[in-house]
Amino acid sequence: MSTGTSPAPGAGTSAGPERVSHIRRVLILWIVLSVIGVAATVILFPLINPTAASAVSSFANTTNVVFTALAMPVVMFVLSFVFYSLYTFREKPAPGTPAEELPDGPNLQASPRQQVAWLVITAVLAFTLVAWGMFGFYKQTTDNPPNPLVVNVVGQQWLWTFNYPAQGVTSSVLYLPAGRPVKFRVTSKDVLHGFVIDALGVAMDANPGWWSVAPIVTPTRIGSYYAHCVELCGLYHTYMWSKVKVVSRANFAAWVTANGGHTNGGSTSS
Amino acid sequence: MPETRRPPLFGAVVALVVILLVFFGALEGVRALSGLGYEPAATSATTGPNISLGVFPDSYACHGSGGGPHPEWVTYCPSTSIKVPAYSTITVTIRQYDTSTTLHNYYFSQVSGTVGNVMYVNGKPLRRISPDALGHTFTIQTPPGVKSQLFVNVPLAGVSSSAPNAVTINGHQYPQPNVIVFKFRTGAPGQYVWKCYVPCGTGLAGEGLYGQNNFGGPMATTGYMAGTLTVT
Repeated sequence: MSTGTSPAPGAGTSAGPERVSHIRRVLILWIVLSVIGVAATVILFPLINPTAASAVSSFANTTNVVFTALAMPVVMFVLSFVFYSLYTFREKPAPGTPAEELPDGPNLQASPRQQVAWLVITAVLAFTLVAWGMFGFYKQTTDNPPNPLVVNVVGQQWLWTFNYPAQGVTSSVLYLPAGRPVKFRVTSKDVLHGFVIDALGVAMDANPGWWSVAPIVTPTRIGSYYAHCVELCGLYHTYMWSKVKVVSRANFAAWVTANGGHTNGGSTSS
Repeated sequence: MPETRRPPLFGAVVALVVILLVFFGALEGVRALSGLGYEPAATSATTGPNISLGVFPDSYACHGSGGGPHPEWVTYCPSTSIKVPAYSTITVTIRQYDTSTTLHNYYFSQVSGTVGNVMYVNGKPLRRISPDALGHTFTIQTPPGVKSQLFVNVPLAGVSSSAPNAVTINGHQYPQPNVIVFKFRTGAPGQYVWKCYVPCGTGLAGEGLYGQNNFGGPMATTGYMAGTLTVT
């Protein structure tokens, strides 16, 4: 005979008010945890997101926060019900009680109304996320501003080199002028690499024998960042990174000149 | 005989033990994998403000009398572990005994990061050499997280394939080397890596893949064409 702390919902003749009490407690727990989770997301994520130096990266950071905040109530809903149930309805049989004498829980059957509500709510949430991603990134990836700065990125084990064809400069450090759109063309000399600049929201595969073109991005914030490889490519994969310096247009022009390039082959200011 | 249940605490204890075993096993695995594998000790020739290195077309010069596990591999000698002082000017002398290979990436045919962006090849100052005249490169790069940036690239001129053998080292004969001398400046202490960027190794991504391979073998193995530079 079970000596559990309380009968399972739906079992026994006095489960009505007790059941409502359980549901009320779980809902309160869910609301509290959801508020804490959403607040923690909104406060903490900006502290750990990479610095955004372009509109694409900024939108990606915002997407991280929004998606996580929307997921929090869903996660807390599941966790609240699971852990409340595990604790509240745990069985404590008398020592030595044979397993076959332990009662089963009641058969649970959700009502059609509950099923429809669950499906509708989750579908709306999922489609909201899809729409956010589609429409938000559509503009970012189809933007085609005139006169972008073209940078050919060559990856090889284990260094990135950057060639500016219009300026006639090749460098192991990526210099970019702030406010000017940049088109990255990426390739590899040997194996697969992955070219990523988190601060600019640039991510593109480097495939040998092929030039991949990343969506055009515009650096908006002067500062130092880094590009790194995200495709495991051998012994020094973790060392395959390069400095990225976003500078003023004047400093960019000076850098081009100091490295033997020419600024009249392609405007360094638009 | 009625089945008796184990106390509920038993499962929790088992789970905790498994979790701890997995956690510490993973920590030990990461620790064991840290570093770059085989890293020979630095020698007197690769320690201090004056560094002396040799680049050989095989491994007999410094990997034991039998040339080690890969006698056919090209290699830097006497060691690929280099230790230099911080805030100093370092003079590097490299004797290059190997013939030429064409670069895949012409960027590495020019001198970068040395004092005056120049090197001296057999006493003659040069800032770049032809991309198909390199035997190897000596390229220092900075790992992420190291405060003081350092990038040095020196193309090492190859010897003629018809040059006669004129030097005997460790019982094996090599041609008269090209002697390349350059200087670079170090900043704050840090750990850097260096390697050769001429495709002088063995095929890695599949033979004949767009013709762009030969970055495997010695080029992907410390102790041969890759190593560490410690600034102390």
